[in-house]
Amino acid sequence: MTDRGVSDSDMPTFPWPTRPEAQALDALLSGNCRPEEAPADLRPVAEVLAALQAPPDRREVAGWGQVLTVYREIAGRPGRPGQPGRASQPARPGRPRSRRLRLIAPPLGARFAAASGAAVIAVLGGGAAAAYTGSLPGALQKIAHEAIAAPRAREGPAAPTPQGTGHPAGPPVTGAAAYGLCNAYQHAEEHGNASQRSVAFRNLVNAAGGADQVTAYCASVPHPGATSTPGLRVGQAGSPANASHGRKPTTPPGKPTKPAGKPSTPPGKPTASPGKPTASPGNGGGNGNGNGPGK
Amino acid sequence: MIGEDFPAVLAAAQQGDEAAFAALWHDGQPALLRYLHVLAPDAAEDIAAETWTHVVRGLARFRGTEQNWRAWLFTTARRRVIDQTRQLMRRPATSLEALPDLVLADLPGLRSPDAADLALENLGTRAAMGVIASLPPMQAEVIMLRVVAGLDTETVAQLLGRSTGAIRVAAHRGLHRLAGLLAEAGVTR
Repeated sequence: MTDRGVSDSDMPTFPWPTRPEAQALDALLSGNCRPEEAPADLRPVAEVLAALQAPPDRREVAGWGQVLTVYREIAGRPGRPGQPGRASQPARPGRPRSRRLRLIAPPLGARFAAASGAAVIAVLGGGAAAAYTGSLPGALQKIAHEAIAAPRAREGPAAPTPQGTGHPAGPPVTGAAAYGLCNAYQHAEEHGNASQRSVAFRNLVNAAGGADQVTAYCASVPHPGATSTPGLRVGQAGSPANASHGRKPTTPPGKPTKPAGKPSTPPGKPTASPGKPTASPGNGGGNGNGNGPGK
Repeated sequence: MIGEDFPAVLAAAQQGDEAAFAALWHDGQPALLRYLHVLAPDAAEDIAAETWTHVVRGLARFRGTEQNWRAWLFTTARRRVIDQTRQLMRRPATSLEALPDLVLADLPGLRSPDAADLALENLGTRAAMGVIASLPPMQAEVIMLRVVAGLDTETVAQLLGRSTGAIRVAAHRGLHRLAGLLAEAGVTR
């Protein structure tokens, strides 16, 4: 069977599936078809694909602290305590940031007020909350376990409590990250499909420590750019991050699993072709190249 | 996906704005981890961390759309997988023929409609990933890149170095197998 060189126009001649089936499959693959909209015979498949896109659980965002440390070292967080700040950056005076603020800040509160109630119910009531609770069909769970070392049916160490129950679950993120989550939620609200919305929202629920606390949480999230963006809100542009990060200047509550000293991984030398990243669609290409600017 | 504001978020992250970077990370990390769990279950977390380190280093120079961004993220991860394992799918896929028995043996009650409904509702992400991982490697990877990474067919084709037709075929066959697998298991509607 030659996998290669099959043009799209040849596809209909492919023995399986038939054209309508192929269209239905394409819709599923594109995320344009929710399980309940799928043809009956494809519904189980649609359910599996939906489960693949379920909102993340806490463990999946547990690496944030470690990554943030790396980001601060490399991207040079301005105004960080004890840090020269902006070391590796060609200070473009915060123009994009302030633009972003205009885009994002104002509607946030209102949006949440309107959206939180229904969204909480939708997210928590759905299958999302059951994703990691171990309540899986035994055989599928077994396959999962064998195939990807998923937690065994009922043992899980540090078994994650069902996130949907509203237990304050120690936000795994900093205040700054929380602000990002609120942003992400808003983006998803405006532009995402249902699953993307639920993903963004699940992140927030995790960060807020409970579904019923999201609105208040987002309302109280300090603007991380406050101190680093001159003239914004707090007039102390030059002053270190104590103000901006409010509670925790450096490490997030969910501690980095590794001694966040430095990027423990030798990202290797100037990875030959970071450039290729965007090997893909036209633009964007090559740049990114010769990464490892700093080091 | 972040959507319309992606350019602004990216620009802010490139300037050192932690909140913006947090948005990028929280948007990409879960999908990245799931993808890696299918490709390299034993090293997913480590490879994800390495991937982000690499991406952070190159972040300032990145230019492109959100689709480009995701393509870069997953391409980087994929290279790491290859580097580390030297063999993308070292774990042999469970043979399709073997699965139905395995499934049915454990699911005596699944054939009843009620049980099937229940099973579907409870089908979890990990189990779903496990089922996908049991597909032939390329089919599994294509499905993960299309569905979880949110990449379009053309981007996946470039990422994997295959034709778009090959990608479509792999995805369709994968879903077909998946359908058969679920039907065999009695997970039907």
